Amino acid sequence: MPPNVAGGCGSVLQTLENGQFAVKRARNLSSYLTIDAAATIVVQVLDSAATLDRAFRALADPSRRQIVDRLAAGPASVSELARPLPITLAAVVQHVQVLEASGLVESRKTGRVRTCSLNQDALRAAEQWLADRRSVWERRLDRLGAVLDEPARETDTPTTASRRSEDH
Amino acid sequence: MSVSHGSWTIEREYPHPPDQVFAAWSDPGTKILWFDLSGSADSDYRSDFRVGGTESFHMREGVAPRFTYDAQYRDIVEDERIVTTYEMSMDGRRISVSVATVELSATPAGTRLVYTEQGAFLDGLDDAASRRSGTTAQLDALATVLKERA
Repeated sequence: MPPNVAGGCGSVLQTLENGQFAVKRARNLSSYLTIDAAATIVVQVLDSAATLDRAFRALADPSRRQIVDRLAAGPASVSELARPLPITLAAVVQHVQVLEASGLVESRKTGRVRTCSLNQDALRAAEQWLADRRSVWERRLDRLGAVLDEPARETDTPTTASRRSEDH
Repeated sequence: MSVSHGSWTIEREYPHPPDQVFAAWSDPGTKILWFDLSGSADSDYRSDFRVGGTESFHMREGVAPRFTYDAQYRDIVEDERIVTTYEMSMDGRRISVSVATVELSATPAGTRLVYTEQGAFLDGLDDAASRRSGTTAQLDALATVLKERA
């Protein structure tokens, strides 16, 4: 995992770097699209980089991960979240605030009770980021399994190989 | 200029004995069947499966971005282990240099495969390690923009 995930200055630099790449990508695209559309892409890429920075920073704490763990089972009030944690209620409130700011958690106040729940989309973005880093080899090894499962594979000639690879 | 280091491990169980799983790596005709994810592999895929032998995989000329993969087999223990070093380039620019280790072990159900990669990702991890996923994100963004304009 790259060092910038833990946050701090590194993540800011990474965000800027992402931005530069976004601009480069957008410039390439701008020959096909209007500059306007290319600019929209830059903003979207920067937005998603900032979202990831916040999500991973929020998850870089064991108490906050435990809160996320609990919320994965369903919505819970702040006091319910606090119960299994060896920290003060005030500290839990702060952790919930960090999680809310990251977008990973949403909360709603009904009367005097604040109920928290997971924002699946934000969680998925963080999950996707990790998955994308592995996806090439994950997918290859899945396909290896499929190739091994073929019952009676014909003799593999280069022609067979290139024909099959184009099927995918 | 920047370098970022990464290491990860993937594990899989296959309901086939280790010699069959090993053969899917050692036999070039079988390997290209699962190794090529692009669907636009150049027909010059080569694999000289022996210690010191090289392997190369290129996407066809004209495909953009054009990825190339050049590896060398460093250690081979039949049905047990394959260690390669490889580099990837994108449009002629080297984007990563890695050590990849494949370990196979027999299980009651078949074979457990552990793939470990340790890599140096050069000059911009986002375009390097993600390789295809960067393109995916770009195309997703493009799709969103095009949808908004329709």
